Amino acid sequence: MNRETSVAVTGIGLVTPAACTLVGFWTFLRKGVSAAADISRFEAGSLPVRFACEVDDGFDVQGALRPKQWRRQDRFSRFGSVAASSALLDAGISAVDDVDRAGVYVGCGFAGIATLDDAAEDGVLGGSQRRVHPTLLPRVMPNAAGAAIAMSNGWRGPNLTFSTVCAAGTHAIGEASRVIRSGDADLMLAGGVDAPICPFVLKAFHALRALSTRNDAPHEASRPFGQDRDGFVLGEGAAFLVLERAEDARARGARIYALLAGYARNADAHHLVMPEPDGSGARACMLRALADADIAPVDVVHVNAHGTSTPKNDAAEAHAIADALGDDHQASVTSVKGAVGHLMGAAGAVEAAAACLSIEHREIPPTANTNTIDPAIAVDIVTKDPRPLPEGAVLSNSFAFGGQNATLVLTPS
Amino acid sequence: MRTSRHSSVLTEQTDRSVEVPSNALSWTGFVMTSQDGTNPSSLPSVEELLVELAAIAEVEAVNPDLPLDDLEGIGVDSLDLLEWLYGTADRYGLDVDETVFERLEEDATLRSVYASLVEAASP
Repeated sequence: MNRETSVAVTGIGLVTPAACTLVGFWTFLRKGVSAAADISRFEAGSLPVRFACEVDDGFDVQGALRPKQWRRQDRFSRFGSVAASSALLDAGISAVDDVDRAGVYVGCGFAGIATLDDAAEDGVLGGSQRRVHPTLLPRVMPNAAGAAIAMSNGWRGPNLTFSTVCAAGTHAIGEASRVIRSGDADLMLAGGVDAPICPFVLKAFHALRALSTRNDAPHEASRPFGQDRDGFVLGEGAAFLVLERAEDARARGARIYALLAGYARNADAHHLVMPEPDGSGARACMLRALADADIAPVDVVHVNAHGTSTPKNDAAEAHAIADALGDDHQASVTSVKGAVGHLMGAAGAVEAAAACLSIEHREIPPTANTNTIDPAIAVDIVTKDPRPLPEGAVLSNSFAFGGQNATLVLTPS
Repeated sequence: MRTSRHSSVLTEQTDRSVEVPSNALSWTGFVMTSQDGTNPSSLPSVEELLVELAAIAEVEAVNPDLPLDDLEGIGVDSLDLLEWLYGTADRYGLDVDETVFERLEEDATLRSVYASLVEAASP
């Protein structure tokens, strides 16, 4: 591993419940509003939770997918294909010199689970249907998005899918940065995808008491670090970053959003669905990421938090941030999940994108809906209005069900 | 009751679906069914059916006398072929599936596949 190699983020592509363009997304985040609303894609009236953060069906703004690609891909892959295509366009890359040195890393939590939920409803999974459509399996498999993106670009380099649910997008980006650092590839598209909004997933998360049940006020439901937070809001979407060596990016005159200066991943080894109450796993992860970047905790000016809006996650994460950064830190914390909900495998990638945009615009967007901060939260949460971002390092955290943690360290170029 | 849910899935799929006769095929994503659920009507000609295969594969035309082994070369892959077969089978109520290809000779063409479909459609 070559620690001297700086990794640059030179392109960002998004498909989110807030917007599918960078300008639209950033404008939405700055407003401190939420994309949560009553579910429109299916009849949810009988479900215990009837709202979510859905992506508008017109998400393929630039017509990135041909009809055949559209038919062959499940919703999560379509999100990924469109976001990846937008990221390349944003990076000004239309072709690569060596397709064997260009790769795709994808985080994906639930893949085609909504389609499988439909299939179960129709008896396909239970066997009452005699036949299963031959394209069902290749559409719903978790690595389908990575395959689709590689095929559409002809890229034959490293191609992996990480299935660490809520941390998957961050793992994909962090691991891809190491591919660039190690010299295994020159260019990586890295991000996350997911389209989990379906009755089965809503009922399953509700059974775990993980979802907000504010059916009467969906747009106020996700309130990370808020005093009266009651769970997360399920979302869907995708985000991809274009990663390349900073020297290559500068040589081709590319805009650099940020340098991906450090990354770490570890595990709580504590509980399947609960964080360690003292956040010690998350703390260790942040400190390892900072050590990887050779940056002191006190130099962190902003944390784009995992901030799910669940009582236990937010308390543990705030504890971990305060512990990791120390008494003298000046870091401000925000969570975009107040605005777009929890995008599962895509969440970390969307949040990394938001962190890059914070560096680009020198501004921290507010945590939507969080008007009264939980007094037990001992970190500085940005609420109501955007706040200027001082010069320094930015962390982007993701913590998964299963206890898998991931932290990215981003710095201005 | 998830009628509206399926409607939205259908809408999403048909946004960019293959252009076929409007009363033809309904794809919910995993099963293809004849919309009226009635008995199969008589099969159209092989040329007519292959217009649909060409649309699925996004190629200009498919020659019925091209050996199956050569389809890849003109841009028709195995999933195109299966999508076409399942669509045709469901549209005309034919009791055929992918095993139709296993029963063919080595140098079989799409015309041979068509003959199997005609056989399956015969009372």
